[in-house]
Amino acid sequence: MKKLNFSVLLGALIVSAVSLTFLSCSKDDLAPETTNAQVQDQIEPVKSASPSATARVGNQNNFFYSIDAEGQLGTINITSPNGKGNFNFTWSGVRQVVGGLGWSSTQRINVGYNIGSVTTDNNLKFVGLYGWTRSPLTEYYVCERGPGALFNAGSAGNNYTVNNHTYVMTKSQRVQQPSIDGTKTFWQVQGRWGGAALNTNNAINVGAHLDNFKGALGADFGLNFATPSGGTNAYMVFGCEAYDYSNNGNNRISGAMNATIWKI
Amino acid sequence: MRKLFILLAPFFVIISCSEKENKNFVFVKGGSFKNTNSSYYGKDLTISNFYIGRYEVTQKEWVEIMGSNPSEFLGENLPVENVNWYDCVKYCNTRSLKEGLEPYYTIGENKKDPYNDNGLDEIKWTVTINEGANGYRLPTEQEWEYAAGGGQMSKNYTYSGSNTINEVGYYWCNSGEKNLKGSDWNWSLLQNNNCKTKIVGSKLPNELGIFDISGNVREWCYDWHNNDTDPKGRVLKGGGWIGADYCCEINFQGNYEANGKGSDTGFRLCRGE
Repeated sequence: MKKLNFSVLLGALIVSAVSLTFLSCSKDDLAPETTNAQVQDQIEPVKSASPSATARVGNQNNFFYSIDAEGQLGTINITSPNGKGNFNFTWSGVRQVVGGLGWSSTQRINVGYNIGSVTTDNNLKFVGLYGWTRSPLTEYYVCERGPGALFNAGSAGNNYTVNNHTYVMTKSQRVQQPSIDGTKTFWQVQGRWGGAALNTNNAINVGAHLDNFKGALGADFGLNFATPSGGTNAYMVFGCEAYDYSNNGNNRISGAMNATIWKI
Repeated sequence: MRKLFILLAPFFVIISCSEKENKNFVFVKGGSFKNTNSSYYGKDLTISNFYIGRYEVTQKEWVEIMGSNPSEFLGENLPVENVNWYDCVKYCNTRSLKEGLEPYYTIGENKKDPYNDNGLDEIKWTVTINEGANGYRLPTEQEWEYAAGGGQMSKNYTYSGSNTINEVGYYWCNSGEKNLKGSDWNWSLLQNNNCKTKIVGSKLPNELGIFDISGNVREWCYDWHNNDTDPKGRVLKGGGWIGADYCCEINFQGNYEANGKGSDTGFRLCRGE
């Protein structure tokens, strides 16, 4: 009996102590999460890229694909039927769209391309190579056809010549925007030639463009193109951008692009 | 008798811990860096004892001191975000005064800091340290990394408290409705997935009992960053819900202009011994 009482007492003590410990460590007044982020009504979600059911970026047959529509409007799709660099990119019901096929790291290589077809309306602004570098973050565009990618208040850089084409450079600083490094201030830079014809083989010397961009972004602003451990965002993609913000942003556009890319 | 001692041992541990720790702060015993993943490992450095917040500063704690809530995602026990470095040092001093502590910082709001040549930072307050003051402060980068690496209790993890980010931290892949692992980072993807901050302390703690030091929100440290390719700014550590897993590694040094804000940017308090 004595032994039983002691056990009960000891048990009660332990239970009380553990309870007190949990009580003292628990956070009080845990409030439910809410958000003041606005919910957008009546927006048809973007359809996913093929072959992935959920992602609009991903890898297929040693190629990387990326498609995106501003504001999650409309339908976009990319397919790469032969897995050898030929792709079809289509969009409809969007206000702005960008996408294409490439590689999941930025490399100082010569990229060969042939644009088989692309929508000819005025909404097409850019056909060419684009991507990201890291350390520091930079979003870059090499425009081979069209008037150039969408930039916010871009300023001029120095013109330069690569592959016997003259490129006009613009640059723009994106202040405190989301990125793979978290909210950051980073640069966008573009070199525009714009003269590529359809059904013609052309080349983009990536390293030469990057060297010119580096020079334009300031002496103390180097570009490090290494992909960090675990990082996957130094991609480069050959594709296009189209948009129409007229009519108070109520217009919607449709279009398509077919092209083939390869490493030279 | 031996069984009785084992059963009662937790009482003594609890009692001895309670002398140095309380609910919201963890005592960090100083020493040299044990975690080989730390950028300071193997360097001739000794960290002094200090206290560090068990949790990231919550919106409740912020509102109690500052009155209003700058956060994008609202919830008392979500970490405060959308605070810049200046907001945080001001919070430290304001809370110190409210609790009868000596403010750790002297803040010259009308005195532009000549060292800060970042054109994007229009604030540029001159902030200096009151050495020896017992008030709240931001951790230095060394203190942050020492605590994140587990201090003297380190088990040599890559992230704070684990080699598996999902166990200890929220980053872009696991901060929304679906796990996005397998995709490449894309802002629209995060928006579609309703990614956001999470209630503090809802993942496992590290070796010292500190929560969310990897992930959830990035945490301001006192230091200027040492990356000469980026404009002048202050150090952010730990990665947040928007960034990649590599940002959550204990040795990753993020940086930002000191007036920079974001829904993934918050802080953790610190105090001297």
